[in-house]
Amino acid sequence: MRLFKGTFIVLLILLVAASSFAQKGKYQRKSISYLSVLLQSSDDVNLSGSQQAELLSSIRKYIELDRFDYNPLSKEIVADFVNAAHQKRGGGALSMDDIAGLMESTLVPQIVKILEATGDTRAIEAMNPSQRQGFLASKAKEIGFSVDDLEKVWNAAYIYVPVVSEFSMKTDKDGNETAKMKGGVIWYHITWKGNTPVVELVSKKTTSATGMGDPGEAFDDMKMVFGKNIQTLTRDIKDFTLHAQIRESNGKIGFNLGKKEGLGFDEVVLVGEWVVDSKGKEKFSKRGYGRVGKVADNKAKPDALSYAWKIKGGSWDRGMTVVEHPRLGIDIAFKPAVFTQKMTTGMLNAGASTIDITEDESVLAPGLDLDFHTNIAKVTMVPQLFFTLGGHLSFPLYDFADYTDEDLTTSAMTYGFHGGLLKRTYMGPLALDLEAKFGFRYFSITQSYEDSYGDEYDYELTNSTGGLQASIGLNYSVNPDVNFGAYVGYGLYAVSEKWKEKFSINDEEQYSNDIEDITGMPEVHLSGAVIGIYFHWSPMTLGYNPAAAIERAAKKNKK
Amino acid sequence: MMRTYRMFIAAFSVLTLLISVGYAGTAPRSNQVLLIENVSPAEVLVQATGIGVWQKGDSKFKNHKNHMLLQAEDDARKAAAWFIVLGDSDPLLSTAAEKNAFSAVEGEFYEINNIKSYINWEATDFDKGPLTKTIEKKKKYELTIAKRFKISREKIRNFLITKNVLTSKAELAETIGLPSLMVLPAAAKGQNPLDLLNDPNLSHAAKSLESALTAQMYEVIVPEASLNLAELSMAQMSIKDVEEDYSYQIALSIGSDIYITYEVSLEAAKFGTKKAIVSVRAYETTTARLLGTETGYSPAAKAPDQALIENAIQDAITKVLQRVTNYWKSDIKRGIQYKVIVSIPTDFDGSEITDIQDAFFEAVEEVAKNDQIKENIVTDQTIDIQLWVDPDKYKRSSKLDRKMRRTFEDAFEDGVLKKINVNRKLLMYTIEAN
Repeated sequence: MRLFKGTFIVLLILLVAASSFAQKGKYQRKSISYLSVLLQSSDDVNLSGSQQAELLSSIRKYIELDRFDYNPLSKEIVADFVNAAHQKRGGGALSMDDIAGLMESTLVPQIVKILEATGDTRAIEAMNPSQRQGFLASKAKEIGFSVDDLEKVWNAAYIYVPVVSEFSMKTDKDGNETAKMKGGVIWYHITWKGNTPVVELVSKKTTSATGMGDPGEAFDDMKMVFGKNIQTLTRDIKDFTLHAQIRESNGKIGFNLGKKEGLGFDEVVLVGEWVVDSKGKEKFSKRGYGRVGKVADNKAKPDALSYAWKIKGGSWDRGMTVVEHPRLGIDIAFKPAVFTQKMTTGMLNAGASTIDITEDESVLAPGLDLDFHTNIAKVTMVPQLFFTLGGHLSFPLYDFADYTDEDLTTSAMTYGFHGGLLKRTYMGPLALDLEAKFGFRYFSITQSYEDSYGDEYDYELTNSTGGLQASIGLNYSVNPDVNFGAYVGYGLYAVSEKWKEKFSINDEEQYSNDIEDITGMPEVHLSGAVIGIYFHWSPMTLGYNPAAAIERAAKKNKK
Repeated sequence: MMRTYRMFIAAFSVLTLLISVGYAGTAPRSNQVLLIENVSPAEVLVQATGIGVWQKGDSKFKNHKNHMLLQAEDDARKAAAWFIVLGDSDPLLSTAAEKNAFSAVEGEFYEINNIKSYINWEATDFDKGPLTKTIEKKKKYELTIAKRFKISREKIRNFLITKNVLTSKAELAETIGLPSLMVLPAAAKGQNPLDLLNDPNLSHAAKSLESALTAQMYEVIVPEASLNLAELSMAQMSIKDVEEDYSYQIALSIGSDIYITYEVSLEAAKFGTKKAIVSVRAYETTTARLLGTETGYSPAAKAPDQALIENAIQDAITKVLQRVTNYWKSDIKRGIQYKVIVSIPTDFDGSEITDIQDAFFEAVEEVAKNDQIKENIVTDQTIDIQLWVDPDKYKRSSKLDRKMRRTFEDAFEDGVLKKINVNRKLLMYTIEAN
């Protein structure tokens, strides 16, 4: 039954994705009204007044996209809505239909007034080139716009309401805070039944967000994560997704979207066309995807074209449709690999026993890097340039059996954190990756044993160093969100004399200190070749800020 | 040597034929065209559908979709031009003779560069499609698009004139003359339409119509407000049902071939917009016969009333004018039409009246082309007829008047035809005893 439910949800998501893709013509600007009220769907949600204000401000910042015009609502009108909501709510919860009804009576009249005042200007902007060829437009110039132009504007008004369903704030023993919330945004559309405006529910997009950090930072982190997620989810709502016809196709494709609508440099656009199937039914058929390589300044030149380069797909022609594919801009890279390292002769005083390395030993270390690639192309204007932040974990295959007692378990691992740059260059669906990352590596040997009372003793020696790793990879773009490939590289890390020891009983730390006298200790060489495969995934949302998560893990390790 | 020469000529002829066939255009596959707006009498905005086809054997085209798309766009361009020539409810070619003549130049007309020269504007985006349909998998595909074009009706007309498919207005004017038209607002019975011109909207509509007509080289006669209708009282007496139709009377009195009446209304539409509706009717002056009626609509828009009215007039007048031209071309083949009214005073006795009638019809038969006379009313007091005369013989109504009077006088010695009113359309007489 659970499997069935899961499959059903996946199918539903796919259907929604397909329908949002199947759009004709060009994106028409929408106007939105912001309701500065945070609906709390549960009484357990305890957000202070200042937290609510901060959250609302953050949501607003991320939702107010270039593709929208704004119909600001006065404080008095919003207050009327809030009062009406309280009265209607009584002791119970408000349904989405209740909210729609309240909006019709309190908010819509003001929005209609705004549309009356601004509709003409927006209608002129909404005129397409064909309408500008008509008699009225040529004779009556800027005032000659038709009811069709106005209708586009009057039918393009939306209201959004932020909602929070869960919120918690916790502080751990080290004083670090973790803020968590679940919530979303409910979108309503003002439609017309004759001359009467009616509010209809369009979509409810929910997400979750976690923020971590020092006191005060966690909430900021959480609201940023929440805002970014909501922004991506909003861009993915069918009514708000940017789309246009391909006007030029000659290796690259040109289409009339740009800065005015907030088209993003280096973002993915999907391409598709309409076909008649065997049953004579029209359906939209996907024909691949590309990345935006030039964003037109269509604020200055309305007919200017933006261009995208093909990554994958068949032949693309004029008249096909491009649709934006909103993603967060952060890729998760899972990179299993085999690393190499070496330990020279020496004595490791590991507490319980001394490990006597009698000869230099080079070993393989299977492991992985888990990286987050943040696309910084919009800042640098270099396509497919990512800022990498990630962690490393590998297990060197030293055989300590010859060196230690049988009752002792001796294990070694290497872990670390790094940051760097990744440049990807597409050649069709294949891409060449060049990556350089700098970071810290920690090599640790742990000896564990259990005494006759059942107590566990862990003695850990850690050698820390810094360096860099450069790699070259070749990958294949499976779909707009997934790349799969292989890479080779070389890590160059300094041989460090910095050792640290830590002793704990039953996972409770007894002492931890730097080793002052390292005479006779072996040298750990973490430099060496690396070969691996990788899997990159571009999620639509991410429940946390990877930078903050890695920063926090690194801080914790430092302590 | 002679044989070689003949073979060379034959080969050259075949080659020329092949080249000309290769370059000649074919009629569009699609005849789906939607009229969006008559932007002006010279330009039309349409949405035309085009069809492109790829089938096995066209394999030289690597990208068959692009091949189909280019074909479909050309097909849509041709369809848009076809609409003007043959497809509209009032196409440029209306007679069988014109259509026959067109078939001889069809290839040249549909040559794509020629077609492109008629397109004043073409949309960059498609209204529909491209929509690909598999007819037979891997063997035949069809691609459909629809896009908008602004087509120059005037350029197409000029092409057809240079190819002798249509007669140019100048030529028409030179040989038979263009009809003279008069424009007045439609008025209720007994109401003088000239009084209605005080309404700024109706006045603007009249100006817009007159402007559209003069742009098409028609002669427009503007009635003056001071027009004295009293002299038409005799005509009024003889014409039933139209006794209070002042537009008709004015048209007759000033001698327009055709008169056009119009009604204007403005309606409120959604979102504070307005829409203008203009009904235009064209009548044959001599008979008050309705030649064509069309209602034009402006889009509901936020624009000045007068712009909306002008927009609706553009929508209606183009079609009405096409019908007027068609009527004129067919009517003019019969000759120039006149209405002749004779009032016979009661002073004459029965036999004299018969003599007057005989003499009058003798005079009429003398001038009528191919004996084309239509008797509307023949009584002891009134004769009301229509007649068609040869324009080569009677270019001016005064010449016709002279000939009629002289012939009448030769045939009836006891009286003369006394002219009351003579203009391009109307000869009005009474009989005066000698």
